Amino acid sequence: MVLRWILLSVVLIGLVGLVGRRNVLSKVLAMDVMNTGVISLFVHAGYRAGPRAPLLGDGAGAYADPIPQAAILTAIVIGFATLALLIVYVMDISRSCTTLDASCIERRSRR
Amino acid sequence: MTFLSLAVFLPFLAGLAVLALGRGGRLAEGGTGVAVTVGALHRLAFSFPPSDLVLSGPFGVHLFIDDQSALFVLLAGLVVTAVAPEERERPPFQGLVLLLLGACNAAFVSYDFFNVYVAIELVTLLGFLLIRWGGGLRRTWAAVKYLMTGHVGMILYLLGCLEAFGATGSFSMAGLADLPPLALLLMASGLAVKGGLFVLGLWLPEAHGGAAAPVSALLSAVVVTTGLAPLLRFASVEPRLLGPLTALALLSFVAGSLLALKEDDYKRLLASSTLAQVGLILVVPALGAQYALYHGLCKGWLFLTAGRMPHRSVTFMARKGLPWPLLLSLLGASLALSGAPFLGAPGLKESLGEAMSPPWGGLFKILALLTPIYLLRPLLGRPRLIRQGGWQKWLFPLLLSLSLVMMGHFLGWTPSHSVIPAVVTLLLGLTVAFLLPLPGEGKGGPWALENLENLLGLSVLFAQVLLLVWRWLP
Repeated sequence: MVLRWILLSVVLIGLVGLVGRRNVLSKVLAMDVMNTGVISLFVHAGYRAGPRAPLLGDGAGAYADPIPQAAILTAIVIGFATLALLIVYVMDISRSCTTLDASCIERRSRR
Repeated sequence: MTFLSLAVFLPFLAGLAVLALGRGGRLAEGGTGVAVTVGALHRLAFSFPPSDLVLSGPFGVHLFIDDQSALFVLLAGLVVTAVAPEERERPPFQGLVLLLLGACNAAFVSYDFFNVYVAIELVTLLGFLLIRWGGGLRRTWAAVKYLMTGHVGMILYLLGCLEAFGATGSFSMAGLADLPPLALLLMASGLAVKGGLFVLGLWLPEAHGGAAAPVSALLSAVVVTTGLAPLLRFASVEPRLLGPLTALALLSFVAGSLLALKEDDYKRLLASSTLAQVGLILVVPALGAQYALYHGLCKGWLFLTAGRMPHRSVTFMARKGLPWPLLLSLLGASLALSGAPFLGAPGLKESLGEAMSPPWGGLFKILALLTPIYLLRPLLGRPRLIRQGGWQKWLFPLLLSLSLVMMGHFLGWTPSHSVIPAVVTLLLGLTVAFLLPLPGEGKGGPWALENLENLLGLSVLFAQVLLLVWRWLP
């Protein structure tokens, strides 16, 4: 239960970074922190029944539920793809704008 | 199974082939679009019973194909077919469009929270690449904003998924009725970000207005509905969601219309109008898929025609007039979208008003006046004759009028008792459009709420309000 609250607070910390930082790159990284928090929450949700790895022929025991873990694997890949794309294009923007300040980029893009 | 392979696997295969070969893009796109359209029409025409598929075991991917998903697939196929001849881009572009078509169709047939998530994220990533196609700071920044806002929305959705899994032990939408309110609200708000509902959907005018014309047509007609289709399923199963959704939808309609009124850039006006029409798709869940088809075709048409125009200022258009073929093309689609009798599917708009409960229905009929005002105002200038160009320039408006008549046949004619109210609404709208001052050249433009900080802040604020609502919900 404590672990769950810790993981939830990771999501919230990411949220604070996302809203509070002016630097676009920091925002992108904060978004990834949020994503990691959610992924860990999924892994933790599988853990509820027991800690053992769900492998065939491992004897009886309290297995972790494999479904949320299997599902979240896709979300990890998607999060990685999003992060990679965003970082590449934020780099591209910083090259043409010579700044990473969100409101500064906003002003220049409207010119 | 044939439908599934036509709608999902064929676009993915064709898209990958185009990306690998680097040629034959437009042909592959047009062919695949036609194949998907034919597949969907075949399914609709012979009214197959809904098929419920669970692939690879009891915890596998749950798919559900019914008339609603077939209608959305039809829309996607039609728009992709229409967009193909208009593209001037090089082949990798068509590969991305084909992958986008496959991902959208996957989202329409999924009956599984997690599968919907994967499909929508795929759509978002492809949409990002398409929006910034052609480069430039403005497009890239709009695309970055689109991706970041969308990703935050999807994080909310994932949290909802987790909550749903905890309650029912599976990701299937079959357990929708047993979900706790928190899971429902989180998932619905994630989908609302993707669907472009007001406050959460303010990324929409910048992204749709800034992209190239074929991309805008695809985004406004099809991509937005990937968020709305699951929401429609939610609303049809879960009556608790109906009240808040109706209120949000009407708010979205009013806000989008008002934004469109002050806009001088014609493409941004169309994008704001999408913000408004998204509300109408959600207002009556039972008619949502049909209205989405109707709106998607008209809006796709308007965006494609806008891509052919020499300039984008509404004030300039209204003062100097448009060439006849362009004017007819825009006029047909605008009138159809405003609910003019005998064009498009006016019966549909009428039944939308009748299906709503009394106070909302009356309010809707008054608010419907807004649509003709902002859509017809740019077209009031005196039309110009152009000499250059042969008969081909008439092909576009001709095709439109044909498809509008067809659409009326499929989606229902105006019932005779509502012809007069529809005409009165239209005339009133036209009068107001005449009297209202034009926005002025170069006016309008992005609102303060449309910058990145505010977009992210708004979604956080929305989530907080949601949590408060959850505390007080029975």
